Amino acid sequence: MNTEKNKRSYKAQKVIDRMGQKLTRQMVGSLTACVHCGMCTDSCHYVLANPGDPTFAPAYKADKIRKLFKQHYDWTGKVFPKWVKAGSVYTDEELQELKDIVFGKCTNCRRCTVNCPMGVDLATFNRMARGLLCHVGIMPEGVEYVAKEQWEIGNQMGVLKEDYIETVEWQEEELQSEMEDPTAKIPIDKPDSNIVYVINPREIKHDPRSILDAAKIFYAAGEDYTMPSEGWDMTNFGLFNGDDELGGAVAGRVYDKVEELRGKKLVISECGHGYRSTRCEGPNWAKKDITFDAESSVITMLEYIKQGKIKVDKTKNPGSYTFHDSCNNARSCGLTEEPRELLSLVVEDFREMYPNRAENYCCTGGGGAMSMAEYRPSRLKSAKIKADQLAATGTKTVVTSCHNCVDGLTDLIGHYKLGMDVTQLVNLVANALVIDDIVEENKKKYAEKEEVSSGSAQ
Amino acid sequence: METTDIKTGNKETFHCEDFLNDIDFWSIDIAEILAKDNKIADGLTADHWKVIMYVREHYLKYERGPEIVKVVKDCGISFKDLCNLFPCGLVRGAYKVAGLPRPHGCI
Amino acid sequence: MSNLLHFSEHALQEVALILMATVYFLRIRWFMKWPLGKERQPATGLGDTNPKKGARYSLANIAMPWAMESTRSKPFMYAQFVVFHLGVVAAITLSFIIPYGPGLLKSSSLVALIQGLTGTACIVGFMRIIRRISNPYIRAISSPDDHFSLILLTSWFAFAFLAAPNDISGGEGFMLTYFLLTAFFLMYVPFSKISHYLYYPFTRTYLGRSFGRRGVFPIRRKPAYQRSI
Repeated sequence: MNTEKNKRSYKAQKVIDRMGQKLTRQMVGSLTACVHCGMCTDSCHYVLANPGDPTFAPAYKADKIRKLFKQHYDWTGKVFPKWVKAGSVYTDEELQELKDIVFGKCTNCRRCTVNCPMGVDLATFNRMARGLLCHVGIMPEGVEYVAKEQWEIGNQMGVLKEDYIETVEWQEEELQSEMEDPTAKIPIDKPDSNIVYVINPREIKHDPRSILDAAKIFYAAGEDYTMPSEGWDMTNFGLFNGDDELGGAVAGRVYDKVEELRGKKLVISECGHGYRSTRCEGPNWAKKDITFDAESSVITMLEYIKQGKIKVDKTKNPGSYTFHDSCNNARSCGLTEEPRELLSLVVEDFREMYPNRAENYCCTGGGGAMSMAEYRPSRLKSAKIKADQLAATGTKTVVTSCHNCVDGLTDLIGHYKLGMDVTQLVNLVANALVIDDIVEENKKKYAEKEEVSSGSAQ
Repeated sequence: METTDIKTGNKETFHCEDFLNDIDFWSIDIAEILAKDNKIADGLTADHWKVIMYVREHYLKYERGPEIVKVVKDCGISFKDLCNLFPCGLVRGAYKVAGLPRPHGCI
Repeated sequence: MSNLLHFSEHALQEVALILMATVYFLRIRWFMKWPLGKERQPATGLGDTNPKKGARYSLANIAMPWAMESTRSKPFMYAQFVVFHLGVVAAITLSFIIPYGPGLLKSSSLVALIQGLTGTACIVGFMRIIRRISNPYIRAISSPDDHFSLILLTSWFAFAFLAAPNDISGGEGFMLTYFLLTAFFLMYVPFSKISHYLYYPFTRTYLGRSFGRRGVFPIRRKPAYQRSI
């Protein structure tokens, strides 16, 4: 045994040891139960885009992780390793090869999981394998960079608190001018609010239009809400690099802030992995039961319309639209019907994409793939499947409830020259808002006030 | 992006056919080419250059692109104008034309 | 009946069965020792499903070829699966009927049923052997165990087909081979991938519970809402 250990690099030994600590019974079931039937093969967009190359097949990729399990934690592999394809890792180069599989050849989209007759959840143990590699510092540079930003600065794009607040205040000014209401607010850290609204740092750093759009909707609905000054990043690279500690820390920051502000409900802006991490996996990683309600902003917006809190006019969004289900939303959180219902309320021409819902294909930028520059050519090649699917809808615009999908789809639409636009529900809802009467009223009200105040000053 | 490759003569410098890998490889000519490839059809105006130089300086100083709020406030350009100047957005428009490498994260 | 055939029909089978049960017991004990991942997630989805419903749906998946794209789009593969596994049931049943209730085999329709099931299963087995060798995707994921298990089962089907009439007037060869293969099969199974059915209830239940809680199972393909507004 000693000689066996001596042959192995320090990191490789660490990976094997750590595996034993991370395995759950669910994962052991998935690692043991595969019968190599191959029914998962066609479910993977990497396979479909690389015909004839079996190394992309989900079962093939899974076996690269499974062999370690069999060799070190399962009896049959210990007794007859070759017979059941058990094997170990010895060198750091082998770990790099494993990295290229678990990060570079799988977006953890879980499409093979829902197509496996045995109920093998490859995506879950693929994430576990990412976590093992991450534990010894092996991961794509981009993922490492972003994870570091989330650990150190508290959000994935390294936005400082003052810049965050400045941006929200700037959007508040925009809201005031658009609504003709100088008292309109985007409250920050307002305690006891009905809603605490958390977002993707991308909205702050690069494109705050979705913040303004959400603010307009909240304003029109007369919502009592707030944005937190910290713990506002609902994205979570812990989901992507498999590091439960990071996942727990990032989600925990959000939960702590909601509790500190005594918010009644946490509303998560449209982001697939953020929703899954904050709404679903976060409590598991943080080992903490959340004490407040949490929902996607899609559900919040839909409720506003259903309850008559906001009015929308679908003719304001002309053109044809299709909906792309984010893997994390649809396949891991069951958020499939609400976005469709909302979309059909705000656009006239909504055409379904096939396959859809929990059977939809990944935007091909999932699982953190957008941050892995080294795998970009292979990612864009695999995007052919998504491109064909998009083109078949014959629509002008693809709508999605995920920031990551927005970027993944934008990339592939450019690459395959589809000439489609990508947008999110929040933008369409804000655009369809019937608020002219509110704005007119504000105009009158504040013009009168101004007259009164200037009159009294004289 | 064939034109870009021919004019710059160095395919490797391009980060998977869009962002530059090496910010020092950038030049005014390259910026013009990148602009054309990214929906800025009529060439770069003074306002474009103001944003481009600001973004570059910020990156060279802090090793990261500036937040959009900084671009808008420090360059004195309205958000709407910025969107019109760079139809592909801050990252895919301004960052790219300014020769910044592709940022990490959900981009 | 020779002593050897009697031994292989009775004592050998019983020992093999006890051995299989023991290994299965140890195997399940080993499996249950792994800590069950705890789920703290508050339920998501439309609220018309829950972990229990999800688990039921997940377990029933085996009889719902329309539920998954993989089986929906390959009905022929699904049919093969059904025939193959019914063949297994028939061949196992036969190994109990011959020693403990040979009178049942006087019914020619039962013999025909068993022969029909094991015979078609044998043909499917051959097709699967060819697929495993010729399909590059399947070949790449196959282990020696996969090949051996499939060959073992396919030949076992063939001998079950031949043994079904329980007629040794033409010699004991088929019967003896069938029972020796059965005994070997019983002892080999717990160590091979054939024991997958032992894990099936667990994996499907765990996945179903998780997806039920998350509103993913049962999978929806049609709108769950009316366009009323």
